[in-house]
Amino acid sequence: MGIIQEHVKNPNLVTVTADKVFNWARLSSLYFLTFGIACCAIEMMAAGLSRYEFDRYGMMPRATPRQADLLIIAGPVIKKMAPVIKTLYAQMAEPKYVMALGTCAVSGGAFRDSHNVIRGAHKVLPVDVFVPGCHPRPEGFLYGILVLQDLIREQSFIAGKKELAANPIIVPANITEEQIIAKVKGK
Amino acid sequence: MPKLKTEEIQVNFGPQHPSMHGVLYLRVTLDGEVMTDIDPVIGYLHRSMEKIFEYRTYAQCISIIDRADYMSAYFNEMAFVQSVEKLMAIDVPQRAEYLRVILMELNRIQNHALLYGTLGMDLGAITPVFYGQREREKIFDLFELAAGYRMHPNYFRVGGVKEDVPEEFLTGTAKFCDDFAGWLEEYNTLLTGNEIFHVRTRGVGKIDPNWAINSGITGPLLRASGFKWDLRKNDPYSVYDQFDFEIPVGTQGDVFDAYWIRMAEMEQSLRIVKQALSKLPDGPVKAKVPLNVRPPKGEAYARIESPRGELAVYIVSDGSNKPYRAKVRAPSFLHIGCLPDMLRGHLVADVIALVGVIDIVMGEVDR
Amino acid sequence: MKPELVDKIIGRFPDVAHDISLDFNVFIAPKDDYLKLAEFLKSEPDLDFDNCSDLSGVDYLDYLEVVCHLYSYKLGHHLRLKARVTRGEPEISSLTSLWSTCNFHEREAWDLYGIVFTGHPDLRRILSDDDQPGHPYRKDVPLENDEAWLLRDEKTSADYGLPIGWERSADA
Repeated sequence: MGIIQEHVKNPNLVTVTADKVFNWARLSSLYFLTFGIACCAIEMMAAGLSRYEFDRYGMMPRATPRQADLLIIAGPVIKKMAPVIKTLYAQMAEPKYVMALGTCAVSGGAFRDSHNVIRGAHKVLPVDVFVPGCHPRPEGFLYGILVLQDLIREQSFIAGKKELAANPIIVPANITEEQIIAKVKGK
Repeated sequence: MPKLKTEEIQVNFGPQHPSMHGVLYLRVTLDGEVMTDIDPVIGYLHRSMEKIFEYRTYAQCISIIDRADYMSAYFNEMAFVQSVEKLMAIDVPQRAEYLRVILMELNRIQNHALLYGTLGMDLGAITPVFYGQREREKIFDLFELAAGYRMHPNYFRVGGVKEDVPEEFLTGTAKFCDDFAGWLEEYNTLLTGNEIFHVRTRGVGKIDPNWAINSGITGPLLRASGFKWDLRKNDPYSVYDQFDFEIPVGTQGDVFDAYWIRMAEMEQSLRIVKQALSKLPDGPVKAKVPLNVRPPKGEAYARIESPRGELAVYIVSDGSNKPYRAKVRAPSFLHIGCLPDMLRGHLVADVIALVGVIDIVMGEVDR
Repeated sequence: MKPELVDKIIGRFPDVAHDISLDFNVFIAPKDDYLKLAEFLKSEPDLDFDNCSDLSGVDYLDYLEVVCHLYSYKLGHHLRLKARVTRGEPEISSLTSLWSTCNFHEREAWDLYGIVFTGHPDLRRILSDDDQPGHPYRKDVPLENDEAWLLRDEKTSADYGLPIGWERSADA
C-alpha cells in the first residue's frame, strides 16, 4: 500500500472503485475487541446479545487485539489503565477505529473530580466516535456504530486515516427508533 | 534418560480478558499446567468513589453508589439508604419496603441469569448467555417502568422510594413470574445436566467452611461449602421475615455446587416476588424526610445480602448534609483476596471455572 | 451483646474505653492492647468472634482511626473495635494472623490513609498506582484532578504507534 500511496496522489477511477469495495468490506465486518472496563461494558454486551444483537451488522467480538479493528472504550480511563489501553491500541493492525462509549470515556463523567480518572479517552488515544450517556441505551450504541460506518464509507486508502481522528463525531444523547430507522434506510 | 529441565513461567491473565470479568489482572506462576502462585493486581477501576462521597450530599451519593456494584445496583442503594435510616431512626412505610424487596429480588434473578450465561461462556458453551440475556432484557423493561432507567436506577431514597410504580409494572411483574418458571427449566436442561459441564465443574476447587468463614467469604460461595448462612434469614432486615422461602445449601463447595445454588436461588427469589406482589399494601411510598438529609452525629453500619455476598456500608456522619466517611464493604474485594489460597495447585482450565463462578464485579472491588 | 460479656471485656482490659452507638458496642483500644484484645475476642468461648466483617480507616484530623466490625456466626453478637494512631506515629499491629479477611482491608487502609500495620505479610499499595504520592483519602489532600501527572508515561506516543499530531486541541 505504501508504494501506491507514493505514486498515486489524486484519486482516479481505479482508486475510487477500490475505495468503495474496501470500505464496504471494512464497515460490514467490524471486529471489535472484548474490552469492557465498567458498567458500559454491560450495555455493550446487552447490545450484542438477544434483542439488540449487532451480529447483523457483521460485528463479532474478538479476544485478541491482533484480530480486532474496533476498540470500544466502555468506562472511565484510570491512570493505571491508560498504558494498558495504549498497548492494546498499538497491537491492533491498521485500519483501526476507536469509540468512546459512555460519559466516563467521553469526559470523565460522574467521576470527573476524582484524582485518578482521566477526563476523557481522547487524551489518551485518537477517538473517532463519542457516544454520550450514562449509560447509553443499546440503541444509542448502535447509532454510534452506524455513524462510524458512515465515517468508514468516506475513507480513501490513498489519503490515509489521519483525517478521521481530526473530526470526531459526537452522537446525540437521546436517539429515537425513528432516527435509527431513518439512518439505516437512508443508505 | 536425561532429566528434563523445567522452570516456572509467569503468565498474565491481563487486564483485558476474553470473558467479561472486568479489569482484573492475575499474575500467575505456572509449573507446566499447574498453578503454583497467583498474585491479583487490582486498582484498574479505582475511581476514588469514597472520596467523592465526602463532597456530595446524601441524595447525590445514592446516584453515584449505583455504579459501585453495577450489576446489582438496587442492593448498593439499599445498603446505603438503610445505613442512613438507622442513623436517623426513620420508619419506612410498608409499601416502600415491599417495593424495595420486589425490585431487589428481580435484580437478584437478573444477576444470577448473567452468571449462568457467563459461566457457560467461559467453559465454552455459547448458547446459555443468549437465553440468560433474554430474561434480563425483560427485567430491564420492568426496571424502566419503575425507576425510569435500565441499569443505574437511582430509585431508593432515604425514607422510602422516589415515587410510586405505575400499574404496568405490577401487571408486567406478575406476567414475568408466571412465565419464568418454564424458562428456568429450559436453563437447567441446557447446562445443569450437561455431561461436559459436570466433568469441568464437579470436584473442582473444594472450599472448606471453616476456612471460608475466616477468610471472609460470604454469600453463595459460603453456602456452597455447606455452611447455612443467609442474612435474609439469620439477621433479617427490611420485611424479609414476612416471606416464606428456603436457603439452598451445597455439600462439597466445588464449582458445581456454587453454580447450582444460584439456580436454586433464582427459584426462591421468584417465590418472594410472587408473595410480595400478592401482599403489596397501599399507602405512601416515602416517609416525611426533608430533601436535604441531615443525619445526627454518629456512625452506622448496615449489611445486606447481595447476590455476591455480604454488602455493607459504614457511614460516619458529622451532622452536615454530606457524609464524613462512607465506606462500602464489598464482597468481591475479599473474594479476590482469597483467590491465591483457593487456586493454588489447580490446572489452568480449572482456574477459569473458579474465577467465573466467584462472580466478581470490578466496580465494587476498586470502587 | 449481653452486658455481662461487656463487663468481662472491660474487666480484663481496663484501659479500653467503651461506648454504645445505635446497635453496636464500641470498644476503643489503646495501641498496646489492640492485638491482645482482638485475640481475646476471638479465642474466648463466650465471645467467639470468628468473622471480621470490615476494617476501614477514618481520618479525624487530629488522629487516624482503624475501625473493625466483628461478628460471631455461632453466638450471633457483634461489636465494633477501634484504635487510634496519629500521623506522626502511624504504626499499629495487624490482625491478619487472626482473620485473613484483614489482609486486603489493611492493605487498602495503608494505601489510602497511610496507617502502617506491623506484622502484615505483604503491605503494599493495592488500589492506587505505585507512584502515587501520599495517601489520597486523607482529609488534608484536596479532591483535585492533576492532568499532567495522570497522563505521565515513560513511553512516548511513538512507542505506542500513535500518529504524530493526534492530540486534539479541544478542551475536556
